[in-house]
Amino acid sequence: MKAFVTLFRNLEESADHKVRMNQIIDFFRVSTEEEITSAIDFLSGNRPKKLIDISTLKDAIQQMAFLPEWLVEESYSHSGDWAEVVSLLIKPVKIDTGKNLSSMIAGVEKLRGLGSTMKMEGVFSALQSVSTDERYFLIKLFTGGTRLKIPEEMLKNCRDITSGVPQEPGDGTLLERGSLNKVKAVLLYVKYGRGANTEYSFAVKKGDGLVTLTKITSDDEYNFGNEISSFVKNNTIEKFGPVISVKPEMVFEIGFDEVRLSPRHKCGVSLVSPKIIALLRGITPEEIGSIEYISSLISN
Amino acid sequence: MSRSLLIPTPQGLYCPVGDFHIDPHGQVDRAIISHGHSDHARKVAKKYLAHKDSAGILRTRLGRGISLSTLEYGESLTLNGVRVTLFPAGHLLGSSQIRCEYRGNITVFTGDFGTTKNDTCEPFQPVKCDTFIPESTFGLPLYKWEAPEIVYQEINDWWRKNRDKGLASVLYCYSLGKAQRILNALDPSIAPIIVHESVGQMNVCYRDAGIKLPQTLKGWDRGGKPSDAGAIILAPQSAISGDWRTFPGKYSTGFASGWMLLKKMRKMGDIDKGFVLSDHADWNGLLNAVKETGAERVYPTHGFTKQLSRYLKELGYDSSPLETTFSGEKMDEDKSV
Repeated sequence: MKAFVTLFRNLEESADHKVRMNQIIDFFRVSTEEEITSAIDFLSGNRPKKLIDISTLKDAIQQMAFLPEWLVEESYSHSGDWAEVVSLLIKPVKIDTGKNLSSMIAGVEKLRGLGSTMKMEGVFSALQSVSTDERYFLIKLFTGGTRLKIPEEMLKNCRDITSGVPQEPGDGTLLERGSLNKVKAVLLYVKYGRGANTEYSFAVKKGDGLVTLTKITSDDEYNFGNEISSFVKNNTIEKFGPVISVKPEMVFEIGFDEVRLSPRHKCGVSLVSPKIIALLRGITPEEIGSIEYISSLISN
Repeated sequence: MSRSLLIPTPQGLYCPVGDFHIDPHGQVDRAIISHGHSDHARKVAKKYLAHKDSAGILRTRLGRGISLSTLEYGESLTLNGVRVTLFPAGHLLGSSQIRCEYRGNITVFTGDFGTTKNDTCEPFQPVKCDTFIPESTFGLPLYKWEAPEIVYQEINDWWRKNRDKGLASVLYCYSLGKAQRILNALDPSIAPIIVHESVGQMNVCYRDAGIKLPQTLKGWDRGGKPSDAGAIILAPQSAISGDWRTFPGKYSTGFASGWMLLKKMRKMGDIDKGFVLSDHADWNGLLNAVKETGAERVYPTHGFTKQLSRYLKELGYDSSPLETTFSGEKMDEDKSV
């Protein structure tokens, strides 16, 4: 069960489409057919009706944890989530019980027909027998307290990606960042702005010439502003107000997340999240990348 | 009638009889420093007194030229008739509780203190006193820490899995204390360990004090080295911008702090995975410490001071918050360095 509880927590904590896709795919890869079916059901919004009110639970937890009411309220005002407060105030249990989603849901249904005292007893004995992470999820389940809903289209896509692929262990918490594409580009223009902000324009090859690929504004977090300034002084071609064009000699490595078609840009594409990675001191402008190469990376 | 030997002043905690300040943040003549974190150790005093193991940290952070004398744990110094003794606080290397005794009246200030197992410093030792001044950074019953070994295993597992996916692991943590506690627990067989310069500086102090840390590498060449793939990088959160952003490869980010217990904190910042690891006492740690001192008066100083003191009052203690400007465990200690 750990896997679904982890997936649920991760999905709640990230709204990023790509991140969520990766988490769902990783879960599908380690889960059985039955677990996947019940997860899809749950995530698309088909879940048990509320069994108890969160306020009933909060009154009970106070007595159980031997804490004054004001202190439980203080805990809530710090956390902002009753399910979290209740799950943390009950004695922590370290070991996950490994209950799967469908048996947890079945457990909820079993309690539904009972009288209120029996129901509360059932709820608490369930909450005390699971780990803190599982407990948080179980509280959401008992109280109908989650609005998390994943579009069916997205779930279907994840299913398609994983079906027929050999199972391999994954982990929904492993995210890729800085999945940087890189290109070598030459500095073409510098525009000194207010304060420390400077805008640099970089070009790549197009045929025998150059074409501006991207502009990057930097507050010199890279610490080579001085080196560029002295280069600009000695290699200025023209000045247009604050914009200075320089001899295409200084080569940088530029990183970016992806390339998109962009009719607005002269070169026909735009880079997503471009950043300066390094000043390549030993590299000549002959070695820079081309717009053809960049265009081959266009993602749809 | 006995009362607290330490009172709050605009410069920080002050002992009127002994004429010294503790962890001052305004100009003073004599300061006793509980530990090296920047909200406790500032360059504002003419003379400093601290634990021997704090010396390297204080000289690195405040300057080689400071006038500093040191004590061992349990060793005493008498200042204007007040007997000052340091006891381990279990927070980080050299961290000390400061016990002040005058005519049989005893006041203990904990500084920041931790009660879970920490192999990079001496464990917290409860000290009998009349007046107890503990920090209360995590003074709510929500805060209960797991055994640190479980968290260390989570960190190593996360790192190993990242490595297997070809990702580096960037783990944000305080450069003093937390970083060394984690380094000490990392499994160096997984991949290289890289540390930010501010972590590296503190590692020198720890190694000098005989704390075992695995081999670490400094930064990386601009442009990147293939051997860094799968490495773990320990950096303060302030390094999120700047050079460390330019890590030439794919990576995942983590953050180790007691605050990671709560969903709202995990959602703050740009962090993939939170590890609940704190060098501060949790709720039960605070209550046990209070009980073990046998103190009648308890004046919590930081964090949930009102909540802890109200609860202690209901238990029968004489308790009220003592306002100081220590900031306890913040999301990023290093910003103020």
